[in-house]
Amino acid sequence: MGRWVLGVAASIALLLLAPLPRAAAQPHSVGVELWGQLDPNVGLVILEGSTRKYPYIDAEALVWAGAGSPQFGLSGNEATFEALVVAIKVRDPRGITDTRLGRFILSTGAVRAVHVDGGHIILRAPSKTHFEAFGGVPVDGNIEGRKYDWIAGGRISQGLGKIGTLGGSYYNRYNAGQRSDEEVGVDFALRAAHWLDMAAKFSWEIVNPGLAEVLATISSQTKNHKLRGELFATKRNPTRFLQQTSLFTVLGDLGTFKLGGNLFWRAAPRLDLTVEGGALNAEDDWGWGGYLRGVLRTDDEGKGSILGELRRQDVATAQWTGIRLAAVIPLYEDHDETVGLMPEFEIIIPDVRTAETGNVWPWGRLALQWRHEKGWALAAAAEASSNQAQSIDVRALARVSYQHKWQGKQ
Amino acid sequence: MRNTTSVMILCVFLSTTMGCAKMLGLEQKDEDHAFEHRAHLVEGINCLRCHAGIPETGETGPLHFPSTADCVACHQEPHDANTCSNCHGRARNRQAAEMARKHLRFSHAVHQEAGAGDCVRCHVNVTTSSDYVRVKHPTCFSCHAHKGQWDTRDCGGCHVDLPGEMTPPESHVVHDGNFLRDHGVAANAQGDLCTACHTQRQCAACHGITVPAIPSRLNFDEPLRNSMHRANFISVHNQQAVASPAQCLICHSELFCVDCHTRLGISGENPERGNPHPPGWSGPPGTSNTHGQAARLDPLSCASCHGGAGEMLCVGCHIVGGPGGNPHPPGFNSRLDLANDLPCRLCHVGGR
Repeated sequence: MGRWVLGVAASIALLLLAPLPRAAAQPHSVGVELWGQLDPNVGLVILEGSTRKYPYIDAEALVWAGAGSPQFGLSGNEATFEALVVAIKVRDPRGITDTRLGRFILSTGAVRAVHVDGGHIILRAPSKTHFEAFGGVPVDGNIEGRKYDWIAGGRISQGLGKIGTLGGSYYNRYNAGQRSDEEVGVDFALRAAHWLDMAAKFSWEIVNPGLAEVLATISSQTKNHKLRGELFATKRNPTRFLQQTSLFTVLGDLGTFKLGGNLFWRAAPRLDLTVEGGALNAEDDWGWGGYLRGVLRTDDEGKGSILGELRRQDVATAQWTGIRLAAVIPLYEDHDETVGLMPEFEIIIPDVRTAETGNVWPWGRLALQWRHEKGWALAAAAEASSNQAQSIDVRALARVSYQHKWQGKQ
Repeated sequence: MRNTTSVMILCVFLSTTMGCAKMLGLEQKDEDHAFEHRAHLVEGINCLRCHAGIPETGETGPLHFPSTADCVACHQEPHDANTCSNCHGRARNRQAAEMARKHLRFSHAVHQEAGAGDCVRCHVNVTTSSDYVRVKHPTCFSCHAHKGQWDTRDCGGCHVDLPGEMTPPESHVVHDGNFLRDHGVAANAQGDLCTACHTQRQCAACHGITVPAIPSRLNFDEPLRNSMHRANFISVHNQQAVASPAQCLICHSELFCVDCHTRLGISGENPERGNPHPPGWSGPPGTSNTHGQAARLDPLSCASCHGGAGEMLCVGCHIVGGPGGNPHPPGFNSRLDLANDLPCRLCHVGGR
């Protein structure tokens, strides 16, 4: 698979070097980021870049290397090298086809997001009917894919005038040579009026027949965007999210269900209030969860802000209350650079408190950030916490990054 | 004395109210105001008299804002000596026009020819002295060619660098509310629309298997950014998994839990940390057996350690005739081959 990824990368380079007629100027960008943490020690180098020749090709890549704490997907102190995204998108100038190849996130219709090495093609008919086909090998880290594991499927969708889309999808997945997932799904998004949005998707597992996932949302807002309300319903079945080769799928339908709503209110030009609440069901145990959040911008441009949040979860054995405060405080600003301070604090109070777990789990971080208009940024932070696993945990974090963007030839 | 106290209370109340109003942005600023386009239009003044040069402007070039000299050509006795545009016309509108020049592939010269000098046909808001004179999407789409571009997601036809604009569109794609929860259902129905602005790196930052670190760790200096694993998430991650285990599975494979716990030494394989299960976890029928309920609340956690070869531990008891009995709930059915497919063949030897 490593060779395959390198092959895609080489193809990108060749295509970008090829002179294409009528290609318009687009910005190119490269970026580098050094990220480090002390105790446990971690060091990461992240390289990213993207380029585009409109209307034919988009290409982007993000690769990284690092060493340190295995908490970060690293293999201990041995150096790890990984590719997160190496993708190229080829487009027909008339917009009839879009083809994406490489390593990317595959997510369409009722198909849940899968990180794959593969391809995805969209064909658009004038009748607003779209045909999609995709396939690939799910990513499993360490450059290599899972052996004998692949996913393939497709989707057909129909545009509903200017107001929405209705689609049907199918995918099939094999794991170690054995069929592990096969799902069909329906999805739609509709904007019936400027004030009314709705979207939903349903997916049905065929191997172990039953509902895998249902998501539905309907929202409405005032014309001035000061008030927005939403109702939502979510049902997910973990045994049908697991690959069907797992023994735990024999437990049958264990769906977790959530039904709720939220309300956003711009109470004042600088003050936003949000409240969300919902009833939850986990294995026949009903409970509820929700939060109240306020964001106050300290200036008209929103450069400085203060956030306060109260959160509560109470279902099955998940019972806790949390309070969170965060702020962005601009300290200095001129034409080229800005300096800001970002304090953040959270305290969690579990309902079940013992001598072992402690009564409260506080967490706090203080970050200082400097940004330069030329693309440089520097940030450092100190973080401290206490929870059921560690009575005291203190860490230091730092990041240096540089982004360079330049325009292609006109 | 009483009057003095009342006056002092009133002063404190008023200053507090004014302070709050200022903090909340309720205080109206009048340093600048929208330009009086309508008044000029009513007087019959042609747009080109102030915005001379616009008809010849291509995709790049000057913006042709009128200067003070242009104003005093008519307003021969200005009320003060300051630059007119300091107050007449909002600075943010001029900035929006500058951003449009930078980000849009738009030629006034081409449109001027098609529109035969009718500026108001696109800039409809100048007739109402509106604060917003930039052209909105519906106006662009009223021409047939742009409708086609919209249908084929050809945003690049007008937008030079849509991701780089960093402007969430208010008119046709709503990003409000709990977008963290909603974005999946909306994005999956019209994913190619989302990719007009959003890169694969943005999707993979959360959904990728090979992420270097989660976004809230990498971007530790952005505390107001919405994130699935904010702040002190590590303290409640086990409880969140119980509340909605399938949500974890959207991004994490079933091996994620055991991978992390093993590497950090928080697992049953570590003799110092001991058995991760509490007392009364499992036992013969009739004794305390909390593992069954736990498995139904969060099967992901169980599958993480007891998947693969570890499944034999479960089927030792949970088999017809065994102390755990039939593991299937009533009505269970599967299309897997009993004799050949996992996990059926663990118990159904020979397809029985």
